[in-house]
Amino acid sequence: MILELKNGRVYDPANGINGERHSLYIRNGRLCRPPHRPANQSRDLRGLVVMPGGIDAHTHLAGGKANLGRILMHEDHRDHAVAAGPLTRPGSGTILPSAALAGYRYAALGYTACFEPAMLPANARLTHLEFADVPIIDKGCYVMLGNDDVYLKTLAGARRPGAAVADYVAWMVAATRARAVKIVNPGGINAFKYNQRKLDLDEANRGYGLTPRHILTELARAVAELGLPHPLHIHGCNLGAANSAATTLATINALEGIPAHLTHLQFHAYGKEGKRGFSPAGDRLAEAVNATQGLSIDVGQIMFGNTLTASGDTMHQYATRGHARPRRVVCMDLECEAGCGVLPFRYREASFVNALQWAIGLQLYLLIDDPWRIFMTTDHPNGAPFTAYPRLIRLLMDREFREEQLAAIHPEAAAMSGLKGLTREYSLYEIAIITRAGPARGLGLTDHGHLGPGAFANIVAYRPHKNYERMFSEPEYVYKNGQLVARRGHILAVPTGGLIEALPGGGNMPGRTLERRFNASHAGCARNFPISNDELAEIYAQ
Amino acid sequence: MPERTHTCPFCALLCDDLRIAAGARPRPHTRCHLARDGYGRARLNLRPQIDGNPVSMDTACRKAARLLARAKRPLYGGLATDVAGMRAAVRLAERTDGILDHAHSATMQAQLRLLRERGWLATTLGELRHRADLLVLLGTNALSAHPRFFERIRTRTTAPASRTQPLPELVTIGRDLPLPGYAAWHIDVPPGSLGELAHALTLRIAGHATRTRRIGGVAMQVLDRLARKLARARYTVLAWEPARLTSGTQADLQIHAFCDLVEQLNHGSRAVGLALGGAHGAHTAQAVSTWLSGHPLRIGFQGGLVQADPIRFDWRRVLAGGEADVLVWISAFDGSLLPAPELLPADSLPLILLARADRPPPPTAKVYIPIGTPGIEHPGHLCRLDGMVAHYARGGLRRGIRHPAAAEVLSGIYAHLPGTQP
Repeated sequence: MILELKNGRVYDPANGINGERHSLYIRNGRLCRPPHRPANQSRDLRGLVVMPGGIDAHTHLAGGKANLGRILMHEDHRDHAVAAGPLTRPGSGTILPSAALAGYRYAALGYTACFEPAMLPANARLTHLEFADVPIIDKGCYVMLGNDDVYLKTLAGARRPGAAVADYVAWMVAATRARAVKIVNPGGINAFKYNQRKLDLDEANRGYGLTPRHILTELARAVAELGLPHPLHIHGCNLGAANSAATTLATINALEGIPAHLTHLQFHAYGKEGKRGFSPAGDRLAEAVNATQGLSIDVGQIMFGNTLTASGDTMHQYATRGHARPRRVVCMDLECEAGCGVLPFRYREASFVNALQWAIGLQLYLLIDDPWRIFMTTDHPNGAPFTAYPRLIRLLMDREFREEQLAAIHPEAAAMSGLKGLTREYSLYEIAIITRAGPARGLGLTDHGHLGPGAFANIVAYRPHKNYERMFSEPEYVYKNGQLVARRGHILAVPTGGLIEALPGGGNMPGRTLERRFNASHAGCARNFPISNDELAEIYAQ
Repeated sequence: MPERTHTCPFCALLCDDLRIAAGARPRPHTRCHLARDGYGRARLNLRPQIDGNPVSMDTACRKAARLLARAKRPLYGGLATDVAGMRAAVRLAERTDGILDHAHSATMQAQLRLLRERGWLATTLGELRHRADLLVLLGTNALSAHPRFFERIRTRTTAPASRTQPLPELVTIGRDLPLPGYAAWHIDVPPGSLGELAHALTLRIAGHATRTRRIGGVAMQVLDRLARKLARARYTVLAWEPARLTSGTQADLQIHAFCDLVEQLNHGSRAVGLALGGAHGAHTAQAVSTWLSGHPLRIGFQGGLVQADPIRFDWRRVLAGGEADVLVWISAFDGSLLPAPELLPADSLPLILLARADRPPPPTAKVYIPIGTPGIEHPGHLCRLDGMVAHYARGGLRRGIRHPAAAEVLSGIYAHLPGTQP
């Protein structure tokens, strides 16, 4: 059975196709070469912009803190209940939607793969169980290491811990069925448990006497040497601090060329100039990113409105608790691995700081030269819910619209931001890179994010419109593995998405030292920790 | 061959270090009475029944499906099951305009209100075990809910910069809280005064003077000694058991006072809260309800939309008010967990009972289906009391009679609803 999607204007940057009229052929859920005989089915995509399915490389979709967030945002869930449809389940919430709604909304936007970036190892089972209830999209997760007592003990306990660290990382990635490794505020979440309230790159963590520089670089090296498909995904020190940019630049230097991914860079791009002691440094960071080939980033753009911040960075979230709107905050120290902090938040145009944050994100998009090394994210929901993506695309593609928005924000922030002078407009080709091809490459996904033969047939067709927000809000057709799943916002099929892991198989039993350390710091046994293939099959059984 | 230990499902600690001898009555190698009782019960050779007459599983499921298809407002109660069972229950409720509430959700309401109104600073068992140098138990000794609590938080190695003993320093505040075999400082306070005491401690630690000589019967010198101990500790865990606090608004006020104290302590040091209890899968049911519907229990589906209402959808109120027309009750861990007989008028409220086969079903059950226990007959995922960790209880501990999992039965009922695609 061959499906032909013909005459679309295809944007497939991984294969160098830039808007040419091109027909696609699908067999058994994958793209294939043009067949010798006519296709069984054909759909004419004449006039439509065709891209691979979107890939969100950093979205807080599932796990314990998502559930905490849902409870905190109960008004949002009460006020935004969605009825069941012929194929869809009921649900609620616009900021942290219930599991099924998250899947439908992502699919309706044309996304076909999403990655949860902050999976606590002890929470891995719950993350996968919740993932299994997110329909349609493929999922993956990044396991959080670097603040866990086992890792820090390993690092502190040996003069040359390289091999032990590599073994530990490999075991953790396999056991938790992760795609990548994440580090959040290196050593800082752990330090907060010892009553340290800040931790700079070269400051010693109170519990172990290790610096974030050391903690971070060892982990980045281990990830690189293990050959994991994505480099260490880094949420750096001093997130959100005025002058966080200085820390970020120092962090880039500290990596000394080890491949790395800096996440939600916007939150780490602040200077301390000006009478308010808060200034944009997106230009300086863009320069550093441009100069550092082994570095990829995602932006973590903020968009004005209500949202919720949910992060593993307890140190920062606790310090920010006074800014929660509404005033509810949950912070947890978690199982000798990490922590979490969940705070509802409002970003306002009239706030100098929020307006600058918005502008800084755009600075990063507009000043980083290589679109292959920058992924479009809002760090859902921290900067904004993912449903803001179409509007963000419009900001990047439509300078006039951008300037209209600039005129509506706090005037001092607008003036400081330097945005007025930035005339760059993203092309469709570049949007396709930052929302699909680039993340696929960065995550080592060979069969996603492109439309060449062999790729999964995750294909989206948009009706062009001069209002790019409208264009990207409701694709005409969304195909997942060759099946039509959405049309103009309506869900037409609800297949189960797949899990994208780095080291399939569930891993081995832990070695003796690792087992001893794990058992000493958890309230649970190392031998029961890895998720086996049988268990995974049961988690994802429908 | 390395030995795998088992995860016990009989309280929300989910101890996963148990060695268990398999057999007709699995024997766990522990003194914990909840585990011994839980594993060791007889498993009766019961078959599904309709009106007390044995039928096949398929017939029972079809009958249940017919009852649910005709019902306008089924209540899904008990919900003492694993993640898969709860998923299946929610799916059924979505299709049948059902209300969902867990048998023990009353004890979880105060904590849910805390989250909705204010949030809190909290911790998990691993942190208590590895890092806490002071544990203050308010209104509980933890043992009745969790007999192995202190065994589980004892460490054999010392944690860096933390403490030099296997257990944190222990303080119990309340009445009748024996801790045999453990050195603990006990401060006698009537249960109703716990909040007042916590509030006074908060004020003292913040440096405020007070003219009162006693709070909750406790002399100010004792209070001050405790305040100094709290302020000096490096990582304090304040633990309470919502089910043991006085009910209604008193529990809320007390918990808020405990959280105020936690917050005050974090000005100078580190402190966190921990809520104990939650048996029979209460935490599992809450977690699954929240990610599937967007709301924790208590929820109801109507016309394809979900609503959350902690008052209207309280299962006892629903039954007492005659608001349900069918009751589906799920109790996989303990066949005796049932609504009180006076809440079950058999003539007007058909009961579809899925329960562990450790006793004959009550005569009030219209449809009875014996189910297995997660972690004994079949594997299952269960959520621990601290809300962040799930364990996979592998099961496979019994040979012979195989009762299906709740998830299997509920899916079987779903499959027989009119309109379900094969």
